[in-house]
Amino acid sequence: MLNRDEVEHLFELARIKASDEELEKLPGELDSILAYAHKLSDAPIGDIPPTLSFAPSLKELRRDVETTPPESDTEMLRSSFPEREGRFLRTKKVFGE
Amino acid sequence: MPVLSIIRDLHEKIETKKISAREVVDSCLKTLEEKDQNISAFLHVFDSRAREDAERVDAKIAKGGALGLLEGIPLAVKDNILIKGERATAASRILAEYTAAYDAHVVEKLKKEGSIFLGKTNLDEFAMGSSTENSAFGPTKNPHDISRVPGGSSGGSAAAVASGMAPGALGSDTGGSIRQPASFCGVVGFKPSYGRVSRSGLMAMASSLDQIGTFGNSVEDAEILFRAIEGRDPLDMTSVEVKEEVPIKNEYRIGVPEEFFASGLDPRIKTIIEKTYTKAEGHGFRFVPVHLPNASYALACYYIIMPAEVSSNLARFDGIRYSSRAGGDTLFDIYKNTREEGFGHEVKRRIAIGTYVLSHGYYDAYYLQAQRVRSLIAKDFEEVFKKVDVIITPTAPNLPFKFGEKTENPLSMYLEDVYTVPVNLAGLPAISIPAGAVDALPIGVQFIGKRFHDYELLWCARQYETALS
Repeated sequence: MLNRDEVEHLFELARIKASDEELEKLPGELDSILAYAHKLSDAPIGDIPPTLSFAPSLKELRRDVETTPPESDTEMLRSSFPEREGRFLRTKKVFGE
Repeated sequence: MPVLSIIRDLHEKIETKKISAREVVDSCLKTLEEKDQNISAFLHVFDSRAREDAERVDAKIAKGGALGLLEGIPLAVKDNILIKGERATAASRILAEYTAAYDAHVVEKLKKEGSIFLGKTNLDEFAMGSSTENSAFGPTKNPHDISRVPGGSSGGSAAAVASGMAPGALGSDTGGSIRQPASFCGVVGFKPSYGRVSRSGLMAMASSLDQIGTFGNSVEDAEILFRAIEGRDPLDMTSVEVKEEVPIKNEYRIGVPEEFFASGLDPRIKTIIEKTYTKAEGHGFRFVPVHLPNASYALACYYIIMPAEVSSNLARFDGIRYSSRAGGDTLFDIYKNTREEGFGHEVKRRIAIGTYVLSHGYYDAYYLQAQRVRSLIAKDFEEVFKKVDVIITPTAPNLPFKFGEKTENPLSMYLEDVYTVPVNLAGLPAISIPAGAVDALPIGVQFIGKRFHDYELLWCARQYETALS
């Protein structure tokens, strides 16, 4: 059974601020979903390997070619920055004092 | 009688100048204006751009240039697929003001074909849901009964095609998000084999399951759009080039998996699907009972793998790069506040499950176990496909439901995907086509094909569609 503190910790790990309403609702909801998922432990897996990806071979990686996109494209990317200073993305300090 | 391809019909009329491309676009925009106030299929409409594009096609015809099949054909695009210079919100508050800086590979291909984009369609936030009720901008209504959901997550695209606003549309399908709304809205919805269509420019939800696919009023329309968008793209390393020849056979064997017609399925849907068998038998189909014994684990498996991938894919929406940022004294506070304000409840719930199943001590028990069960499910399909050409199942266990009916209980909403998720787990192609109706509410039947045998599956679906018409 997940409790309120554990859900709060999960939200902290996922970088989401948890509201009181969510901390009220989510333990029960997550419990019912995880309880349902528990049926997987009955599956006759034997020694079958996991399917981690459908990616074909890694032998065919594309060539690493330097390209310079037109300034208008780069500006379009920059225009979605929430905060900017000239050509730069502005944010709070990444490293503390 | 084969079902009429609206795209082919429009193409012939445009080419022979019976109608201009501009008139086709105007007629779609008129229908949209009249009907979308009640349906809410579109989030953004590009009326002036669409009209200008149509005029370019008409100018080409006036000069006597040859016309491609999709030239001048108006299409709708799900709002989690990028069109350069246009808004792309994925129906999330966190991207409410975001404008795409490049074209998705599929959009680039359709632009080269000369298609015209009418606008972007509504969806459940980041494609998470089965009803469009999780859209931050309000739900789409089912054109057959506006008190009911259109299905989801590509509910906007399905409703746009069903109500005649667009002759075709693009959607995405991670666990049934094209096929289930196609079934609920009475149109055709096709999810190609994983890898057959590039995912570049599709906002990632669960990368090992996501696939872009097509909607139309007939199998041929869905196929015409698929032919235009499929193929290898260097920007998606899981995409592949497939050379497929459809074998000519006198008889096609259809596997009927008992497990998909058992408890949990509305008996009225079962009756309608079983009634189609007699008609199909006259068209060269033979029905063979088959078993997919591990399919009963598919939904549980999906609800571990999908949230795990969601939790990592959605980490990029942190208030730093993409349009919206909440206040906060530290970087950490900005992340937390932006995500709390920007994401809806379902998205947060899935991120929380994903974070839990990937955390230390639970990874083996949940995530790795689910990936092993996934192999088991794929192996079941491989065995069955040694005996049959395609598999038939219902698309959804229930009729289109009322708004609010399943929002309080997440598991009951998740059960809507019970017949569609096994297909994504195994990377197979599948299509939903209309099979009939109960009380004027449409019902779809799903056909599942062998991996990379997409055209063979489409061929069978076309024969079946003809048998039912």
